Amino acid sequence: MGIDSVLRDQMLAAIPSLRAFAISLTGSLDRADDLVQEALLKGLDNIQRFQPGTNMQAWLFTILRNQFYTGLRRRRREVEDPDGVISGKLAVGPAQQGRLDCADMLEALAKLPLDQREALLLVAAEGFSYEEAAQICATNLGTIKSRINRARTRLAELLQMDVEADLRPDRLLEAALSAEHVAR
Amino acid sequence: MNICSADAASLDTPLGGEPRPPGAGDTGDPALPRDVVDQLGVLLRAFYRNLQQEPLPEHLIRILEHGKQNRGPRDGH
Repeated sequence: MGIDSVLRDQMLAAIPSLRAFAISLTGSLDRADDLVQEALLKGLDNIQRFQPGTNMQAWLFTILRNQFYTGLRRRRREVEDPDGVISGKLAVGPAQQGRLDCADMLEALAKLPLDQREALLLVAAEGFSYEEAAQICATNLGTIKSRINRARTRLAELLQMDVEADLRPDRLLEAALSAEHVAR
Repeated sequence: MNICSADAASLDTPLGGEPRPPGAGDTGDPALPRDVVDQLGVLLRAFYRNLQQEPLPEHLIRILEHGKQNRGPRDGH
């Protein structure tokens, strides 16, 4: 096969991220691996269309995402992770703050609309810029920002993060305001 | 900056380009408090790192060595 070794190394380096994105999108290890395989093969078949000097990872993410939506259209009625297989495999124990594990996050992400889920993952988890995410998702910057805002809000609800408490004035400020009121 | 070849988008038809209803796509959504956004970011990155550290199936790596020749059943299937 005539692929340049530099390009091959770039593709190889992208696999863990592609797979993490695919698992997060599909909620299924098997479907994720199929997606990554399809994306790599499509990338190899079209490697002459990749512009050297541009971002290989973003290019492969775009291909993978398009493959995902093509497959989704084919099996629109398929239920994600019907047997809870992925949740079981990924329940690796508490990851942060002693109250969240991979299965919890995967379950919460699965409840987000797909367009919000992918936008949030690309920017907040994968580290793409808003501009890069907009290009990968074939949409505009404002839409990506809006999707991410909505995804964050919904995810915070799903993970039962104490948003209300964070929105309240802190106790010192409340006490100060109260004292000021009494003084009047 | 052009982050990837425009050809990538044309390799298939993305749904993301579908027309949005009027009013959609605005950026006027109320923002979460900064510390909640930060906490979510920490959680998402930790989750993502866990996934990235999952052992890679051999067949995905072999694809890059041998292309379509090795396309077939997944490892363990």
